Amino acid sequence: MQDEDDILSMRHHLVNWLFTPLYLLLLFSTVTGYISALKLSNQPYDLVLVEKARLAASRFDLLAGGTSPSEAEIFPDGPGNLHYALFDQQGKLLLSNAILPHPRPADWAASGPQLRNTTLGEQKLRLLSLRFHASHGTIGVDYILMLAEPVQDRLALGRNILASIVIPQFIFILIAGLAVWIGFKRGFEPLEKLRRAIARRRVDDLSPLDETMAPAEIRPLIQEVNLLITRLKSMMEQQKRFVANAAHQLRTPFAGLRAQAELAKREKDVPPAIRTALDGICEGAGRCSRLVTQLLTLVRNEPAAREGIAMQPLDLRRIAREAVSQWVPEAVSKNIDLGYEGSNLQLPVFGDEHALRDLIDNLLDNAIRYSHAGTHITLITGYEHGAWLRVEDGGPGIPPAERARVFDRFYRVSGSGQAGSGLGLAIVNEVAQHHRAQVTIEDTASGEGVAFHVRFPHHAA
Amino acid sequence: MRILIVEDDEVLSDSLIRAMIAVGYAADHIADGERALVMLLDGCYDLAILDLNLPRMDGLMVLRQLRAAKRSLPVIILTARDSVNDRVNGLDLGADDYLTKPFSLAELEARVRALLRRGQGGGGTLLTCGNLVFDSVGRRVSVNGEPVELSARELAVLETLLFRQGKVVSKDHLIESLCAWGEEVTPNAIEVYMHRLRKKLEAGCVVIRTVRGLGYLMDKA
Repeated sequence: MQDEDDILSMRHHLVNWLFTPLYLLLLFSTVTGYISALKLSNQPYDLVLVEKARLAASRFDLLAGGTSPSEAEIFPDGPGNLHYALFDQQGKLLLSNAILPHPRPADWAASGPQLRNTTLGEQKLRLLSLRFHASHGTIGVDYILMLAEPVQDRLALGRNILASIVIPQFIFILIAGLAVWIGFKRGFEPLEKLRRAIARRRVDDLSPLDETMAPAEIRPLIQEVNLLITRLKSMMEQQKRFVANAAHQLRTPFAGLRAQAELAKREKDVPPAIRTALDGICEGAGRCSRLVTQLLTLVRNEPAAREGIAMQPLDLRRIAREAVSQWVPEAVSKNIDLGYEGSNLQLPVFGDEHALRDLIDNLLDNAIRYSHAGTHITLITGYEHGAWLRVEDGGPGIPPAERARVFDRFYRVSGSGQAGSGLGLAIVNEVAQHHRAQVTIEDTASGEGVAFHVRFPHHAA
Repeated sequence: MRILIVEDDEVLSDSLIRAMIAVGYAADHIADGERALVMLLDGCYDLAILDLNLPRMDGLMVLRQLRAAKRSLPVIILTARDSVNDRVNGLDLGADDYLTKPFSLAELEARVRALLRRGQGGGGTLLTCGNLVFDSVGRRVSVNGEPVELSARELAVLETLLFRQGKVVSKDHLIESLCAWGEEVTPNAIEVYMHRLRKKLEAGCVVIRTVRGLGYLMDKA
């Protein structure tokens, strides 16, 4: 199923081309989403941190003469997970619960709260420095409060935000992919239909393909295929015409040759030597013409020439009886008893009548040609999982070693002493193959001669 | 008797002309289908031997036009095509007989003789085989000139065999030909008639052969 693979691979191709960019897009949006999620998650925590710092600063401010502030005064509820450090204007550490970096000059210069990331040991921290003015007493003094918060919560929020962005995106891409897949399947359906229509075609059907079945994109292709079919058809017709004309062109000269020789033989006082020669000419013309007939029958039954010949339900019994009837006079002239045996029921076969006649005619012709005078030839028919026919003759038989080869063209059994063309059984073989029939060479029940057995496939009448 | 031979192969037509003249007919020859039709329509011919593959006009077309013009002269088709269709076509179009090339001159002469006799209206009543003569109008049979007594059914069987002499006549066909008598005829009865006919016609140099599984064939001994 070459074409099916191609359709599949084409589908894969398209899907790959769509999914790779989509996947890269997802990766890109995950990275950017992560960055913006971190930024977003920092904002609320930073606001809270600033608020906490301002609250702590204002509490410190409220302490009159707060020269030695205590943690409980600034953080009445305790510092929680916060680390803090309070510096005065001289950079002296007044109060802390952790070793936080000293304020930088920029922190003293800044008017608002400054935020940055830092680490304390293994811990990642968000560090806030807030410069504030405490006005206890008369002299106002600036202080800096450093507040540091571990980043775990922010990261957790960031991850939550990221997840809320990426998961829907991933689902969206899955759905998009599924839609694309279904779309392709739908899109390829006309092609698949076309493929099935072609596969269902009979071998001999040379009618053009139906263009309307195909989508617009495929139509030019179908038109080309149809052109090809048309050319093929005309070639086959030419071949058939050639076969028919060749028959005429070759047989007419043989007829002339034979008639002239016969006329010459009728002349009075023909010397015996010339009479023998004329007999030879007559016989030669007859053999040539038989060879031509056989060759043409063979060509006619070859697959190329058979195209366009319809197979139909036939009764093998009728065809066999007609054939035997026609060969009886020939058998009688050779003193051979030709007969028919078989049931009186119809024997359904599906085939080409002309070709089946070629098959039976050649079996009978061979049998009569090679049988000895005074012997019997019988055509037997029957039905067993399909119609069968069998020709038993009274000839010299065919040695088992040669049985496989007798169907070869121009092969003749050695020592048969007969002027056969060597084509009769090749014709039988061609016709049998065309009808999916099996031909075997068997011994006869009597042990004399040989039996050709042809089994046709079952055909319901 | 004037015969027109329409054949474009010179060697063959030459031998046909010589053969026809030798047996006492006047024979003309033409190689071209169109002119053959004109000559045949002139109406001075008693029989035509017509090849199928001809220049200018196909033999079947010549035959069709001839029959369309209500000319009933006997026509023997010479065909080189062995396809059954061609033969059936020819006979359907009104050919009286056909011969497949190559044929023996004796065969052609016999067919010509038979057709010309039928054309004269003399051939229809007397059927012969060997020394046997069957008068199908007077329902009489003679062997070597001596009348032979046959029953009506035996006559019917003999007539059927004589009409197709040299060819196989199936038992079914014989039974059908007897059915006109309004009685059941069994295959065994046919065998009985054959037995009797063989005995009564022994002297006539005719033989009724039994063809196994098919029927009978009547021929000169």
